Amino acid sequence: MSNKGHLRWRCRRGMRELDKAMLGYLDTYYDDASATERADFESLLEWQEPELFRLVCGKDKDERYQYIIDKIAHSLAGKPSTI
Amino acid sequence: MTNAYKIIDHTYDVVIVGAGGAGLRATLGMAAQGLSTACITKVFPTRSHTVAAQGGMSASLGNMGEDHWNWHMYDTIKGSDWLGDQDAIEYMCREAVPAVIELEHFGVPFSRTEEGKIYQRPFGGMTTNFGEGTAQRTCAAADRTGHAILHTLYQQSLKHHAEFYIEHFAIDLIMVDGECKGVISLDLATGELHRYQAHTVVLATGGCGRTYFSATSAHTCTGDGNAMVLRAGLPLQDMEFVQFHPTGIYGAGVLITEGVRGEGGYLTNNDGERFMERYAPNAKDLASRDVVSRSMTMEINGGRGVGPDNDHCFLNLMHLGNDVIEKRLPGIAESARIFAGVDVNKEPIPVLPTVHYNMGGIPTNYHGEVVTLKDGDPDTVVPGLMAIGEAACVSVHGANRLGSNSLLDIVVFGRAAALRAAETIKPGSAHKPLKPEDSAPALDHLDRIRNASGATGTAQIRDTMQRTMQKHAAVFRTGESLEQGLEKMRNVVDSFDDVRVEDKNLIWNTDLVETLELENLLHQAQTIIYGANNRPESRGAHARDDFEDRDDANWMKHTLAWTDERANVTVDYRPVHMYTLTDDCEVIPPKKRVY
Repeated sequence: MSNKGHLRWRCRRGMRELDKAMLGYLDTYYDDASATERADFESLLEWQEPELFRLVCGKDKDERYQYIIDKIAHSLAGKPSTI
Repeated sequence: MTNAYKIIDHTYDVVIVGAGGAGLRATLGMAAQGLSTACITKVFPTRSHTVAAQGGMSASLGNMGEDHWNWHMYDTIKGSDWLGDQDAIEYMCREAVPAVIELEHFGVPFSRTEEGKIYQRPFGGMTTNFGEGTAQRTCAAADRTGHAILHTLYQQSLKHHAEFYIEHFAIDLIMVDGECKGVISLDLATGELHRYQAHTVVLATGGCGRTYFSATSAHTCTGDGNAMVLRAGLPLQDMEFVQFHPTGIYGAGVLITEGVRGEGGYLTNNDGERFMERYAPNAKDLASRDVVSRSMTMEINGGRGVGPDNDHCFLNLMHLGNDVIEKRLPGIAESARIFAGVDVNKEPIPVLPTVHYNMGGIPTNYHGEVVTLKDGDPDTVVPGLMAIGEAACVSVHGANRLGSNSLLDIVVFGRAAALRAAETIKPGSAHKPLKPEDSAPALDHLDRIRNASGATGTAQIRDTMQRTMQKHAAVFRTGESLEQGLEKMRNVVDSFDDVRVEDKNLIWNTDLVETLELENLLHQAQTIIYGANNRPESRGAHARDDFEDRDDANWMKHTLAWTDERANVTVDYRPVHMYTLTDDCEVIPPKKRVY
């Protein structure tokens, strides 16, 4: 899924929270990410909303993705009022 | 130019646009009746905005104590501030019970009581015995009711061989002599156009929360079906009625469910006062959403807001204890921590009224058939076209929707549309061939936006629209502010002439899609702000500072709003249905709406 437009569309989620989370990462970190990190992010986009939401909120943990979740949290904290 | 597009043709008995709860319930119902059924959706079905509905759905099952659909009907009519159509409300409240039981049988894992019945919780505005007690009427599947419904209905639809066109963006309806004959979509992955001919097209495209700056809506909530209806020369109804959810997280818009107050959470002002006791002595924090939103705004406007700028309120959960929060309100603690930086066991959550739901939409009867005012008949059915869910205005929510009536609405009217289609469409019956010119308006429309080569970016115009609507058409409205807003919106609409779509490519062109969505939003925003200025009364979610009372003599009627190509609005009206469907209940006559 290397097409940026495709990725941007997949960052369209059912919940506003996840729109903010996934787009926040895409716009802030994706371009500079390693091939592995990009692949991990793209794999996260395939998750179902409730599970992804639990991961983003820290309710569930998954070692493989934790470094991306940390970056998402950072991008959310840095931009509290963007929409 | 239009010849340049590759078009793939399909014929179906029915085509549903949108795969949220309403669209999927209709898809399942129609496929199960043996109709050849296609569902077009711009995002994967389980990523529809229904997934965000965590609170639950209402039905007078009576599992937690005595309950009756009559009481639910009363609550809904009162909640609607007497703008709801009483025949449709009777239908919804009666059909709620079989609709929920059906969902249970389809496999939705509702939360249970210890005896194994569906657990039901209290929700704002839901009462027993015509306003006397608090009803426990809302069924939930933990905090993932919306997801459970989507997942279950999608599986069931596939089982019944419905066909899905996923990541397709619907461009326009195909209208021939006032009848809907089909719809055209853009396949985002291939850039190919698809033309679907159908005996009935069902619009289940949701609301248009993204017309405003602060909204709980996902990015995808752009009301595309509503805009397609406007372009087809048909009106939208009651668009000025926009519900604000009382508890969006301050600065983020992220929603804190009303279930929090159902479980005992309460609001406070800068003095630490539980101010809802003053505004709604009986219902207090469980008064209906518009009452709570307006009360919060009055506290803030009165200088009693919290925070450095005294511009929001606090929602307190600290007293509930970790066990209740974890068990009954999972997800809330995490939302508050991530999006507000708050530990709900120790601190209150900063909250603000935030756009949440559009009561208005495409006018329909209780079968889901789109209606319009034609030759003096306000109930003229538009052949071949249905609308359901938040896209539709049946109208069961009138001027204000009660919490947990929206998941009910989508399931009941998704089902009703399927029942009606089964009555009116013979499976596999022949289609009259379409002429090339029938599709021309849709193709020209796509072409015009795709080749837009002005100087202004889509994001910039969208931002100006959202801020204008937020400032001039939000919770408190006055003629002066709305007039200013109308002028500004005129400029925003005109600025769309100068929009620029950078990339002319058709594959995964999000810039193109967002520009099409922006055009859709602009037309809807115009109907909202025009309707708000046009209605000199306060009713439900529409509160005018300069006309504080409801005016039943002149304004107990639905607004119909049409837009022309320049998004100029014209209005007319439909009467509110002040009659019931059967003799099993009586019309609830208007009275002052106090909680």
